[in-house]
Amino acid sequence: MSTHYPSTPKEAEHTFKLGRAAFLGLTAATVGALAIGKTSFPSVSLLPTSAAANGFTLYTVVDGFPGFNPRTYRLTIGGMVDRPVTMTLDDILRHPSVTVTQLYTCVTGWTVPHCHWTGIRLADLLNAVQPQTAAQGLTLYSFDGIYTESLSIEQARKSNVLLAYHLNGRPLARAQGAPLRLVVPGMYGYKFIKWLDRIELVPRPISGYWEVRGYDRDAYVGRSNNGLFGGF
Amino acid sequence: MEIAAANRVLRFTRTERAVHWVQASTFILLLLSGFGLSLPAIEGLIGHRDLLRQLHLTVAFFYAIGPTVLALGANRASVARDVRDVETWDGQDVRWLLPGSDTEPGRFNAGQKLNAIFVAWSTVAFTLTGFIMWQNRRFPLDVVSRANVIHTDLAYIALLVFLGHLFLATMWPHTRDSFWAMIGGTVRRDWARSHHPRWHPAGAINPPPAGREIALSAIRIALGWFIGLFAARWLFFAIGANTTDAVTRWLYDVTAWPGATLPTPQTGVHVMDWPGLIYLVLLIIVFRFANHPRRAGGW
Repeated sequence: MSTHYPSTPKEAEHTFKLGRAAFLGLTAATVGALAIGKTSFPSVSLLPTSAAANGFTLYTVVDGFPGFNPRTYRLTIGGMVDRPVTMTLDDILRHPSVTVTQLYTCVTGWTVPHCHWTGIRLADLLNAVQPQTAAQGLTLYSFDGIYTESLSIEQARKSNVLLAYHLNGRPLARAQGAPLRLVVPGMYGYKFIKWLDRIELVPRPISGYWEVRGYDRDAYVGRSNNGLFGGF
Repeated sequence: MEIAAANRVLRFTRTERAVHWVQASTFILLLLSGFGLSLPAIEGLIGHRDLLRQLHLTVAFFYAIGPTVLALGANRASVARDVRDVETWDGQDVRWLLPGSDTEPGRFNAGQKLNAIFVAWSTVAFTLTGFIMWQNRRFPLDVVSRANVIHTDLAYIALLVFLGHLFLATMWPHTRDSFWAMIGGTVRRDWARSHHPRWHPAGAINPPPAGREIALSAIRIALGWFIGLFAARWLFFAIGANTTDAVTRWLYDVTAWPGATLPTPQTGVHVMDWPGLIYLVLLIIVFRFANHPRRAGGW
């Protein structure tokens, strides 16, 4: 075969197979890094990250990060409830606030430690609207017009589940879901729906945006999204 | 283009060029979509994460499979020669890397060899870590995190290497003369002698018209993309495709037999995709036929 394409003559000097050794060595180093390397992200920041990111990688499923008008923003809670409510931002801020600290874990493999979320308990709001007994699920809507999330009524009633408006003592940035974002400690980040403006009580949980695309509804870190995974 | 026949020597065969351009085009698409997925500033600008992710994944299959299938399916001997040239080093290569030394490179200089080794390794590393990120359910979260870190950091390094390669190939006066080698296949004999003195090409050749050569290359690159397309489709449906995804649906529609119906949108659709496999094998045969060294006269 080599007669067609003569290589560099090798008689000139002593030769050695450096290429293969380098390739195999680098590949072995990569596998080693997978086993014992750093898990913090990003390990190098060659590009400046804006303060708004707080170490987060920011995701949006529409074109850009949606904005809102503080004067006209309303949170509505309806569906199978006895007393539906509509709240302004002031109404939400007047409510007693709670702060929870958690390790934010994205299912794609990055984490942000020590996130202090401040907001109102979802359980308090549910008590106020009085869900009907047949209502066993919640559907949460983002005003980006696309993203939805789901919770069971038991999950929503846990005392550390918040509708958060502050992260680390500062108002949520637009890219991180201002003015209101769901916080479910113990679950993966895709449950933390951003730009929240509507909650509906429904007979049972309905799969949200990523759940339709293959992720688990009960998104407990380490206890979900394991095993066989069909497609992307 | 006026090229005196006796002054040209063949540097890259059609197969080598097709492999290069399939690798290059998929790499650039992956780099752009990848930065869209990982940099907040770009994510905020273009958004549409789901669509971007599907594009990145689909192109990733072309990138991981395409060049290898093309290299094995066509003029294998010329690619085997590249592998030999890249992995064989001698004292002159090592001295080439040191400043101020006067050496006589063979067909590739040490810088080109390092670049080729980097491309081979980074393709494997991107594919391995990318597979773990994609199939994140099958791996512990720690391993997914490390894969994410390696994948992202490697992308920055690959961007720098790519920009350096682009600069040397198209702008740097000492090296840009050889850019034509990756398009039309040939270089000037005197350029080969002065830049690669220890390379002894097979002899002067009579290059076909430039337009024809470019058209033939374009057909090969298109064939390479279609091979990647069918390989991706076959794999998706073998692993369990998510037909709620727009790109997967498109992939199915564009490659389905006439009259075939798409499974209703759902996750984890397992289909033994015989049509896709047959298309794939047929295309590889066509590609092999089109690139056979004897038929192509060594091109």
